[in-house]
Amino acid sequence: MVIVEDNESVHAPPPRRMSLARRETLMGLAFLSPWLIGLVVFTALPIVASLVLSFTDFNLLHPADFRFIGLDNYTRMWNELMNDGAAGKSLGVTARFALMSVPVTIVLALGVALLVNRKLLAGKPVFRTLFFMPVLIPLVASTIVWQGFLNGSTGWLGQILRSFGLPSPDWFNDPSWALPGLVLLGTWGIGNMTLIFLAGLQGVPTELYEAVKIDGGGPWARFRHVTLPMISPVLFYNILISIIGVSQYFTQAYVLDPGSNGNPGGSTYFYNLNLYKEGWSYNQMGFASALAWLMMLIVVVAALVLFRTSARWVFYAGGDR
Amino acid sequence: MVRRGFTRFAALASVAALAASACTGAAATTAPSTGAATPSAPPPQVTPATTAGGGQIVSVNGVNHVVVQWYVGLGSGTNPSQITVEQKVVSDFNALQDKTPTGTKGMPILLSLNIVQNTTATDILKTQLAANNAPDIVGPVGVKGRAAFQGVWADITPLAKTAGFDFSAYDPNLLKQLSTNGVLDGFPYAVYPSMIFFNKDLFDEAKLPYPPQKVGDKYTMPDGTKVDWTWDTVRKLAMLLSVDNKGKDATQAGFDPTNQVQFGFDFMWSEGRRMGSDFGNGGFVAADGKTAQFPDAWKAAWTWYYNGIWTDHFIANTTQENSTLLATGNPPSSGHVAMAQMFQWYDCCMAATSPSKTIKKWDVAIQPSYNGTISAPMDLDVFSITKASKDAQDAFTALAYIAGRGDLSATYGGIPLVGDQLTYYHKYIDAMLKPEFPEIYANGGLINWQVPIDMEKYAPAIHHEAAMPNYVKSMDDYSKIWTTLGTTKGLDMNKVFTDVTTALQTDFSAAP
Repeated sequence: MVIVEDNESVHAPPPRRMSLARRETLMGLAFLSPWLIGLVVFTALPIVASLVLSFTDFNLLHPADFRFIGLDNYTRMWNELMNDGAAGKSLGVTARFALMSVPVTIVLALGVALLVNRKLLAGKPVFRTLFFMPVLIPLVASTIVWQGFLNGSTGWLGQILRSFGLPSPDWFNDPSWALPGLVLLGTWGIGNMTLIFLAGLQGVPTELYEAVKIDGGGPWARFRHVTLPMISPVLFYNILISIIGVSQYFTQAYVLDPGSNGNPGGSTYFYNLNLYKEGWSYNQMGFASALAWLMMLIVVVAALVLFRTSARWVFYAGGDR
Repeated sequence: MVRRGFTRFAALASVAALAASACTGAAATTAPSTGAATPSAPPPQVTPATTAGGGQIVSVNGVNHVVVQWYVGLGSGTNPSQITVEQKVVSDFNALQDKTPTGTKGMPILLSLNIVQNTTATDILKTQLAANNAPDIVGPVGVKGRAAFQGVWADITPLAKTAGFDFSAYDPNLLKQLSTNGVLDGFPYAVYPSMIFFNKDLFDEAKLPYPPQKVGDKYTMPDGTKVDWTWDTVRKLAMLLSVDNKGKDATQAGFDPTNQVQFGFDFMWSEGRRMGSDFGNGGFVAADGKTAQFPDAWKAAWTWYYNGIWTDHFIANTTQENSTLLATGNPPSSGHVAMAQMFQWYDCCMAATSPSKTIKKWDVAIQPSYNGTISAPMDLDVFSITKASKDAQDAFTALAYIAGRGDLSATYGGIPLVGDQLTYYHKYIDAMLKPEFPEIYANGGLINWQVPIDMEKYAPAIHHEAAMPNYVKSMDDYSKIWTTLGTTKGLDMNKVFTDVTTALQTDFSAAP
């Protein structure tokens, strides 16, 4: 009798099975991969590429002729900033707009949120919908509508003001009024911010208001000592988002002056309009990339300042940041 | 190789990055079409593209085709009615190629249409060029549109020579205007002379005779005097046709310019160099090609325009122009403007954007003179072939076909440079306008198309969009000052001229 040993079945190692955790990780990554690939290809790589480009004289029309030019683009940018060149002027316009727009939209959005959060207000869902609806309208369309609304000759606002015997500014044709006009236009889109404030307001415990009432505090005391501290994280978030939003401001100014010259009189020549102009009109993509990096740096610094100062004015109920 | 790879990568990446940072959302409206299929025919079997000798080749129903990309959007060509004609041209060309292939590789040419909205067309084309993905044919496009792409266009003379195409019938002066540094880098396609469009109903209402339609004819003023048809006559006439809400015209005491309901004149899509060229031949660049200047005739033109807005009130200021009274930026079509200086292509839009179809009857008159000379700026359209085209000769074949289609130039509102132009007007332009303006064509009425034909002879030698050093930047800088004329009262015009010259000299000196 010959015994044949089945070596394969006896000595072969058992098939490897992945642990559940590993399988779940891989599965998760697989599901995330479309987003991850998109992040790398459409965000991370372009960010790196724009940094590299900022050290070149890359020209859109003659891409093969590019050279690495060291810090030349940054030197030029510095000169423009210091000598009131296009970069300096456009940064000034953006800063002025930020100083006007951020406080106005924050205060207005908070005010509207407080109004639509009132217990006594009838038809709350209707008002909330009405205030949010403009957000759904494309920026280009709303800008064109506002152009008509603010037209100094036949615009409705002018007609209303004149009917009360008040003077009407020629908003988008007067360099002094163009930025306020854009701030006004921006109030049209406070719906998102209002919604976030509203969510914050609804999270404020009612017993705190009752405590202030018992202590004899009026509406202002309730707002100052309860509402504001309790929604300060939301306020912080909205301010941060507003600043980032201003740093990206482009569409409305572009629609107002498709020639992208910031008319009237350069008063709406925003930083991103200048960046666009350098990149696409003058084909100086290297310089435009340097401009983009400066703006990113400014936003990072602004965010850092906000975060650093937040300890003094942002109140986290759970103590967590 | 590495350099080329980097170039492509950098182009794509930079465009994506900057687009994201600038939030432009530059959406293109594209209408690619092989044009080969009819609704009842089965869809063509198109296999993935391959490349041979750099060009793109696709197999349609088992037959290899050389693909020629036609890019529309830098100039005219994106209106729905125009797209319909363009698609038909493409379809007809492809059908012809299927029957009789004329591609240089012995294959049929497949013309593919890519239509991009004008507002984003420049950016998208630049992106394609940077990504080494340029179309073969670009057009129709004017002088200014092409100037933004200096160095991109191929010399078409050798292509025409190989194809046996003869340019001898074309006006040499026009060919010169269409050339860049002596190189014919665009296929001369259509001209658009400028003239005065006038609203007959407003003249009838004011009981004023129509403007002259023949060079040398006088204009009869209300007091019976016969005067030359000059820009000063236009000023006086336009003031009579400018009316406030109380019915007073701009020559009468008590006229209220803040409540104006009708304007005598409009300089639609106003542009500084065009305004200057209306008064005389010239340019911002001196003969040496590097010194900025402001010709005297142009100073007179700018002053005439400025006073027309703020002193004589026969031209709308920017605010009024963008008001609903003047069709939100399209004054001549509003029915509230008596005369407008405009190019031939504007015939498309006299009523198209006016929902109420306020203009019933209009005609055209000759350009006024200044100091005894008529100067009528003329728009010129070309089709260009990109240097990056890998099948330039096949592109020229397609281009020659496109340029020969009368229905296409008619839909663009242009006149072919050669042939019997008046017959062309009656055959194509009148046919296009007749359904829009039945009142004009009732009882055998016609628009006097001899006017634009006559005006061609008065086109200034220097084109109003001619090349300047540092072209785009220079144009931006004088335009910034020009726009203040429409928005700002009380400007010192001498300072304006100095500012323009100074800004331009800075740009010229900084030219690469």
